[in-house]
Amino acid sequence: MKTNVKKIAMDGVITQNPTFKLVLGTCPTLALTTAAMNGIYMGMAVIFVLICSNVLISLLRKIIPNQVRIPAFVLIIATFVTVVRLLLDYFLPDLNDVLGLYLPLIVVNCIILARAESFASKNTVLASALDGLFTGIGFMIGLTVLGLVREILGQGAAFGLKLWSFKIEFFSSPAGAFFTYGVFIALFSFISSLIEKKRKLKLYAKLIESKQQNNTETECE
Amino acid sequence: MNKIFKSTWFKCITVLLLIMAIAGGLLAVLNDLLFVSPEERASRAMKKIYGYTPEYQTVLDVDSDDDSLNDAIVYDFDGVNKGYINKIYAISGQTDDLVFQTVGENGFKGGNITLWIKVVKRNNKYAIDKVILSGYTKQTLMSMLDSNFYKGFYLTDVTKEYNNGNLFTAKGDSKLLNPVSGATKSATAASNAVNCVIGYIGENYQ
Repeated sequence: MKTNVKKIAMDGVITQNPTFKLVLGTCPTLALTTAAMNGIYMGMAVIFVLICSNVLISLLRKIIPNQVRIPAFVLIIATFVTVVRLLLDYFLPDLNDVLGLYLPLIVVNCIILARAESFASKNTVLASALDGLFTGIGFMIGLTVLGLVREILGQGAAFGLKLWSFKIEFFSSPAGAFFTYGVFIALFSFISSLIEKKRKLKLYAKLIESKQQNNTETECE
Repeated sequence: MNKIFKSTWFKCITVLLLIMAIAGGLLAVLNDLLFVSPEERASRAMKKIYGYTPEYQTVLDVDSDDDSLNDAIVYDFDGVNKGYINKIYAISGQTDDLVFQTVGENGFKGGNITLWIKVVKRNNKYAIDKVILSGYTKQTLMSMLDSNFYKGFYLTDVTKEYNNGNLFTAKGDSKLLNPVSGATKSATAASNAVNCVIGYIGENYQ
């Protein structure tokens, strides 16, 4: 089976973006996006877990019986999350402190279980690894953009660097997280519907053009 | 017997057990390889405070699990605001510094905040010289407590403050009086953690 890298990449980052389109992994999205760097850190942890779990689940997809696939997936995901925790605690303890409780919560992150269930358990190892990578990148971009906006508005800083003293503390609060997230989902839906409309119009125009061509050809005959 | 081996339930159990055994083995090895000892954690904290790891002696080292907390030095300020000291290190060598790990309770949603606090001796007076966040539970707005907030806990004469009955309170900071956000509660927990050190120095280093 040929792996369609472009489609997997587009699905993971844009058309099936886990943060803004599928609205998955909302708990870390709302809680961790007080700063842009948190989004990058969390995104990297999720990318690691997604790639590893997708690869292993894809490898074992013919061995795992259908009846116990969910417990098996959770077991595999939990193993990789624990590996990430151990590695971070040993090599990057500060990062481990920043991510805190949300790192073990990756186990129950819907994105990972959803990709395991809907993609990795049905596709090849390479395609599953790429799906994990691009879905993770999509999640990381979502968190980072959200974190950046909240950091700029709520703390007057970007990526930890102070920009100005003006700040609206509402954006640092949980209510601000819901508000910003809602605005972003609306914006994302609006832009994607505009693109979809344009695409459909283009298709429609092409269809009419080919129909007209067919008509003139038959008239000539 | 052959029927059992071919049955679905047997296959299910075997696969799950196999995954569990492999995952367990991998984690056991990694846990052993990547184990961080309490000494290593203490030296990491020293590095955060001093920029290097000085020589130190352990005065108190209590694990944060519930069974060992009976050995911690507990302070109850008014029945609501509480905290405890679970680690004290005396820096040996050129300084008479003390490094505390304290836990302030009564934070947002009943959670707590753990701080590293460095106390130095200057002109025969004990001063709080550095306060660093070590960890927290249940707090959601810790980003609002920036480095300037922790600098607010610096004191030049801890014993004097103790004798005058001056303890930190989050209510004094008008910027944090935001009942919706819960940042005031987090600031209260941090204050309780620092107040434990004021209590300890006041009682033991007059």
